[in-house]
Amino acid sequence: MMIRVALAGNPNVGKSVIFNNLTGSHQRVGNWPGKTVEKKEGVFRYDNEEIYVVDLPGTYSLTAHSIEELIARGYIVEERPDVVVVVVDASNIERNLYLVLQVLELGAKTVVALNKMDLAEVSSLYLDARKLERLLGVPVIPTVAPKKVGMDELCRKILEVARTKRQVVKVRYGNEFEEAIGKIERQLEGDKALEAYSTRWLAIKLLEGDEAVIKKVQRAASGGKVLREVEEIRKALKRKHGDLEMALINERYRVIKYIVERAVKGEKVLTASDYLDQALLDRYLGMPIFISILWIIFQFTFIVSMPFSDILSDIFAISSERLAGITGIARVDYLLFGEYGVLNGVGMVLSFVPLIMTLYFTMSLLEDFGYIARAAFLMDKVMRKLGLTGRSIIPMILGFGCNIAGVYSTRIIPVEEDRIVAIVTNPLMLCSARLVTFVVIAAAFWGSAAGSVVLSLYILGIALAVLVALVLKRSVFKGRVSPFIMELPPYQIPSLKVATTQMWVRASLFFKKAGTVILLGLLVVGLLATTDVSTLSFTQDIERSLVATIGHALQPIFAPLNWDWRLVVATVFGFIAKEIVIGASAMLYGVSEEEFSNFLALHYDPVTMYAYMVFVLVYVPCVATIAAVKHETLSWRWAVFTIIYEIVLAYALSLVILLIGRTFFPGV
Amino acid sequence: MSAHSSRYNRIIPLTLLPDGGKGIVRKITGGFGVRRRLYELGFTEGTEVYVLKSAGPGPVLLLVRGSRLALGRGVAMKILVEVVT
Amino acid sequence: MRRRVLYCGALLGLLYVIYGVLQVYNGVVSWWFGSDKLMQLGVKVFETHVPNTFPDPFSGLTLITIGLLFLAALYHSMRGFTRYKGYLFAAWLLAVTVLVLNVVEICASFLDAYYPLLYGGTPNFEWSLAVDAWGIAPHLLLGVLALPLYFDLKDFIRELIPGL
Repeated sequence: MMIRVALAGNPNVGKSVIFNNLTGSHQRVGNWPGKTVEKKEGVFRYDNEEIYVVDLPGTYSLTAHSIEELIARGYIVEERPDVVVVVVDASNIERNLYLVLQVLELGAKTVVALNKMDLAEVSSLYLDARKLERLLGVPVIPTVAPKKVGMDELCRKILEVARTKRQVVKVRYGNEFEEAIGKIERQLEGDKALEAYSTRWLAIKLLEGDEAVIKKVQRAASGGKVLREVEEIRKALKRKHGDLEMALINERYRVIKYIVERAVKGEKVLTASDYLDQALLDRYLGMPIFISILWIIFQFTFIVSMPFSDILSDIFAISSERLAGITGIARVDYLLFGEYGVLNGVGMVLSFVPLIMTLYFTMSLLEDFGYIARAAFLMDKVMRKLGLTGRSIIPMILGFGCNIAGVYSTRIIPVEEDRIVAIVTNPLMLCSARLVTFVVIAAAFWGSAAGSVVLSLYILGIALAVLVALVLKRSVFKGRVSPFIMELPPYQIPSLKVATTQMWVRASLFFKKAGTVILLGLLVVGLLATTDVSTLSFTQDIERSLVATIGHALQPIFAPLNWDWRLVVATVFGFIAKEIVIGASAMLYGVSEEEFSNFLALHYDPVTMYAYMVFVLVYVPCVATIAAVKHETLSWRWAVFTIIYEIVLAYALSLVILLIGRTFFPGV
Repeated sequence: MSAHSSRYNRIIPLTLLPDGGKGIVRKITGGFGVRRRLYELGFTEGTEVYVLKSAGPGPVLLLVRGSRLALGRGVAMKILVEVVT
Repeated sequence: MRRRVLYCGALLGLLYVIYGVLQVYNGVVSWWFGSDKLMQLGVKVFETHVPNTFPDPFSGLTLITIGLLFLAALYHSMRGFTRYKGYLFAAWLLAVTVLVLNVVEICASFLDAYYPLLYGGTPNFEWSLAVDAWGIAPHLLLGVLALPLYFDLKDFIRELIPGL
């Protein structure tokens, strides 16, 4: 029988480090069913026993008012793990004990891991673990997770507690409350349906007025009667203490105060983190520091990944050259090893991987250091006015490098609505792939002013994102203004090990998911471009291919925008990956990539081209990004919404610009 | 840490405390959800708060029960504290 | 003792600001006006300068910010606020970070030029530190000058190491 352990705790207490210490590489990352919250589980062996560990989402309490709390509480109540290990930040003990008390209420067999003992010491706080143990009634193990101090003892205790039948919990609230709890417990006794749950927990929740529990009780046999009794008890108590939910929160903290006064000595002094915050959040320098850090991340990511991307694309280019003609079947060869063949496609996907890996590596370092929270703090005021939250700034910035990264990074936004808004508007951030396209076009038409033109596109993207965010906030997500309450964790030297693990995990996830979608897309286009429209046989003449037919068929739709069928097809190719737009156009027009600029300048006018660039900026994001949107929102609904609103917006905007341009700059 | 002082001190919104100022939470106004959230984080009646940074517009940074919490101005305004000198 | 450290820091800060401004100027001149009349403040070595103030307004902003943090540290200490410690620490952290960035850039450029050797191709012999976009930039030079401050900031740094 495998022993099941759940790890709970506040965010930023070092839970994941403990999780990693226990499970090492025997872990798996996924999602909680039906939610966008990440689920980490793993196994380890100790003393000849197999132990399964789940890393519950970090929460401040278990009142089930956020997804994370729902998941954590749900797991402990319904799955009934053998042991719940609550990881507690010793340098923050008071607030951390709040969660401990809630876990104890749940009736779960508990072990407390008193982590960050080193930090507490530095802040001049001295905790007596033995005293805490006596006051709480459950084992308290001091740990310093990064140094693996206390891990052995923790495992021993986990096994010990798993094997005991019940724990005697010493925590009791005020007399009146205990009396009320007792009364309700007696009412609940004997009910079969509720047997599985701890009566004390049910009683406390009923006292608080917890809706989920009320529903559960209603369904029980004696439900109605019990609920009536509970109402009576609540009314009586309310007269004296006001809102009972608040009253109980107060009670818990009163008990915590009692415990802390006896088990903790010393007063917290200002730490290095506090000093650092005074500088990094400086009224005037805070912003420049933020921009500098962003610049550093950007540079680091692109500089480091570049040589590896080059190496990879070279490997694939050479391989497809060497393998060309290997099967002898012209069609298969062209399809697999030709210029738009599968092998090249694989190469293109893989060329994203060094970038994503470096990005996650850097972001992990930054988050581990603790700066991400400060960034949200700095940007909040500005973002609020734009209908976004402070934390949305990070995905926006990353989106400028690559929308895929931007979409995945929205995980740091806790509120679901804000997260979706951030995901859906991210493709409007001008990614590096489109930058390549725009630079070529802009250079052809505007020479030295090309820089400003491209900048105008960046600004347009941001403005549109803000607009869409505001619209969404006023309509679909109306009324949900998330108040800004955030804990700033202490700074720490980031762990290279954690960053590297993160890097590998995310990269392989990305490769598996996006790789399949992109590959399929490429295969389809490849087939279309090499199939003769009349004979349905293999052809290398693109004008006779299916893709040309499609192009010509779609061209009338885009006639008002003044594109010819090749531009239409190239734009469709852009659906797969935006970098292809230029290359595909060149191929379709039969000119080399280098001559393309001149060719454009001769055959099109600046107004049409600017409108075209706006279209490319706004329309559908590349397939990989759409896959990311679907992956992060867990449904196709938002991915489809993004596709539709972007196409419509792109077309409309492009048309408007064309009309305005024609009116004000005729003959240009 | 509750101040059972007989002297009456001013009660003001948290946002009016300067950098380095101290206050004792007396009351939280505003919506139910925000109040509960703040309570759960430890802003209960009688809790002492220390202001790490409050200059300029934008969120305030506080030291509460040993942890560093940032609150948006809108939220901080709803917390009424008794000034501690 | 502390005061002297802060004066050195401030001097360094001034240098950061100067080079930062140069980079911004170069960036504007080169990116917006397409000119290649850049301003350099250093020793001319081959076709490049040491340090090489390559055109990049954002890089310049970063250098200016680091410089301002050093200067702020001195300022606060003269006003008697203990917060100067934080500013010095922040300045040093950023300085070391961009130092590492410069080193990484050089390594990556080298790799980019010579990786064909891995599979028997011809490397890009054109590349050298003189030709590289960054080369030995102010980030590296000034960062090295800032390193000794480690000894004054040792205690702070130790506090940040998870698990002493």
